[in-house]
Amino acid sequence: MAALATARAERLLVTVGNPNVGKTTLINAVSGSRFEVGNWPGTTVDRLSAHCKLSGRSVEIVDLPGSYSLAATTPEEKIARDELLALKPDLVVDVVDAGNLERNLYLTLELAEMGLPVVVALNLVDEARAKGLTIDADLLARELGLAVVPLVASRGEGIGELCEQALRDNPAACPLVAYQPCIEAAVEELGALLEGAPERRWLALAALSGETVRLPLPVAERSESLRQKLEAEGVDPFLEIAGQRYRTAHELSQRVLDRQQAPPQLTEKIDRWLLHPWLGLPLFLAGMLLVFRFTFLFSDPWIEFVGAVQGVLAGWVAGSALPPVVQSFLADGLIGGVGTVMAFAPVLFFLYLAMSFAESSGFLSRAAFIADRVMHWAGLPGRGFIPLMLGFGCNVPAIYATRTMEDFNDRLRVALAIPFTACSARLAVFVLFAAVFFPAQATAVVFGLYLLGLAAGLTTAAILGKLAPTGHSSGAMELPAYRLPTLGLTLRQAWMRTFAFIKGAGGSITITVLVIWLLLNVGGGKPENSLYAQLSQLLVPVFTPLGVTDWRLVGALIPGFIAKEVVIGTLGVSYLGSEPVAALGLMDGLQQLGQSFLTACWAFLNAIPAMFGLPQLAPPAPEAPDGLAGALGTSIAPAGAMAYLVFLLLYTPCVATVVAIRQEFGRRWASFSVFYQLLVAYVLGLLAYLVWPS
Amino acid sequence: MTDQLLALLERPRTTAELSGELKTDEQAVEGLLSLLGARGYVGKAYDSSPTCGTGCGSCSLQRLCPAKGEEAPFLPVWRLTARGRDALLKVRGTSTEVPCPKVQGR
Ligand SMILES: Nc1nc2c(ncn2[C@@H]2O[C@H](COP(=O)(O)OP(=O)(O)O)[C@@H](O)[C@H]2O)c(=O)[nH]1
Ligand SMILES: [Mg+2]
Repeated sequence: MAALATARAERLLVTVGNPNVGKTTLINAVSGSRFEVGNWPGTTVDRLSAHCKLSGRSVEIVDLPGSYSLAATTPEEKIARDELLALKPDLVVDVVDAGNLERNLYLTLELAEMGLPVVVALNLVDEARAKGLTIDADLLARELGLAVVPLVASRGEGIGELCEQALRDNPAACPLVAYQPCIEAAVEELGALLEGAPERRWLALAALSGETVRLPLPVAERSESLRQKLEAEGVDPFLEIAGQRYRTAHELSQRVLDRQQAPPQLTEKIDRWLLHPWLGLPLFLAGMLLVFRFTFLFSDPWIEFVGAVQGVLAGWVAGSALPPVVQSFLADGLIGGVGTVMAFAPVLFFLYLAMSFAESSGFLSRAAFIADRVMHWAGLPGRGFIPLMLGFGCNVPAIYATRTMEDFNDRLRVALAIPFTACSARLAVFVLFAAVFFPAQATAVVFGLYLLGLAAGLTTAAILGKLAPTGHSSGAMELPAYRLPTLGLTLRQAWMRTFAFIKGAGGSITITVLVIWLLLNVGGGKPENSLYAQLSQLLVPVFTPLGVTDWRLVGALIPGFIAKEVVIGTLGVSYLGSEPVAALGLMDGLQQLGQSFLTACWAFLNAIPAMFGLPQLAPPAPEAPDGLAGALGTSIAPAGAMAYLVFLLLYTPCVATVVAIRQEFGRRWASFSVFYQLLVAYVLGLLAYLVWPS
Repeated sequence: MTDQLLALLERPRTTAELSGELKTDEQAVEGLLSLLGARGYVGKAYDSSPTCGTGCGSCSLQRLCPAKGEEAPFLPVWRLTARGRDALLKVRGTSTEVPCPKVQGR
């Protein structure tokens, strides 16, 4: 296909380079945006090309997919590599990010080994300058033996010179990396077998590295035997070749780069405070407090809106002519259960928004540094912070990450501590519960639970450490610089994560909720007399000391073993089914929906000044809570609610975590961890009930 | 460069730590790590267990799990795989400076 197109143009150019270095921008500037867009044959990867006239000569430019190397580790890299070999372009325009020279030069060095004519388009010079980096383009050209054109493609600077270069008959590039003699000898032998192919050096190196390249059978066989021979002699050709290319790229960039000592770095200034031995931890915790406050303030209006939507939908179902069983199934099972879970969406969105910001700004990496120090206090090996930090995202990979520690006792201590850390799913559960039980102090409650989880984990580790002490060391950490993340990227990431949750929750939560509905409703009697209710009743005496006396609350803890987000869905089914729902007409319902939406928008706007502690534009309307909030609020006193939340935080996080512990440490320790967590959860829940003011 | 990197990874480290030790650019180290990762010499801290990701059926957040490849963990910690460890042992057995014997010259 591409071959047909080449036949028409006098000159074929291709652009190659790492992703996001401005290849498309450059083609745009050269061709004046006469693009043809399609896909690479047999793939979904975009293919972009342009035809244009430069000084009267017809030129085709093909944009190859972004690649870090020609090792074909991704589908994009495979296309770029195969097309480079197949197209035999008149000129390869290697687009290089001037602000990230070392990494980009790796590809340049590989291109030079392909024996193609190459010109280096040194792009993004403006951004490099802003970072305090200047590149001696003339020196780089001499070192590489290639033409180098500095560019700011987005502003069209340097495009004229690039066009001139594009029409010149550049000679093929010369290889720049010198390998160990044994590798060179093997390359030479294979190269001799590939006589006549300009890319023979690259092909030989690729074959020796063990990459899949198309070679004549005898050459392939010979390269395989050479590769094995080298390995038998203790040389890993892949490591040698990749390592030598990286070293050459490093040395080259050192020679041509001038790194201005940037004025006192912002990062250093901030870190002086954030990593301060005494202020670091409080400042970090204050940062997390802000995250929770942000999440709560901005999601609360939308949680209420979801509740209102649920109410209206249930009202419509009640007003419909459907048989009662179907009505109950729709209103209580589907709308009550699944709908309640939808209340997670706004919470997760704002939680992830704040966390994405904390992550990409570099703030969260500091958490690791501080955690490292806290680990030390708890008598844990410094490396234990890695799994523990991962635990705040999800406990399961965190359990597996304990493998990075060598000592079995250390691993076990950390693994037993991990389930206490509030993973992001549980955090969202707490935001929802706090909004229901403690609307006035929701932020403080969520933050307190977060700290309690961490404290329970560290105390566990510290106590076990006293029982079976081990030696430990802690290495210095290098931390990434602070950056201001772009709003668009942060929003997109938060949205993608929220959407992933909704898709993922669809399965397990819906199924559990429907099973609970069946258990409550099948048998014909009232839900209070169902098997599920009777089972839950049996457990009620256990939780009465904690002030939790409602069987529906107790019952929801059982499916909570599967995953904590299921608890909320179960409560939705159990509570909403018990309240009679007034039938709603279509228009009334629509009106209610519109009104709740306006209320939510208004409350959302109010959250902005509230975030900064400013007086709100209007006092929040004193409104009788409805739906689940109303039902739950009357079924338990604040002290009991607190005990319930503490228990929920600390007992077995989810099946997946238990499975992970069993796989890593065996059945015995998995059972121990479940019992231990139940015990801690119960004791601390009881304590919470006793100390919380009623 | 690869041998130094593998040696450093005997203890799991973050990209930032590695670039500090190797005195090179962090992005370049990331590039080398992903190349080595694609060939199975190094891996992320949590995915050293073949069973990781097999018990997550009930989790609503499994799509977000860094172990499943859709999300990058905020703290990329790298470690050696069994293959990487083997390679390191082999490298230690030979000196990279001495030209190796027996392969035919020109
Ligand atoms: N500041 C600056 N931005 C540039 C330059 N060249 C391209 N960009 C921007 O970099 C981003 C990526 O460019 P794109 O052409 O899509 O990169 P590609 O992935 O290599 O095709 C775009 O937002 C461009 O506007 C440049 O020289 N300076
Ligand atoms: Mg592009």
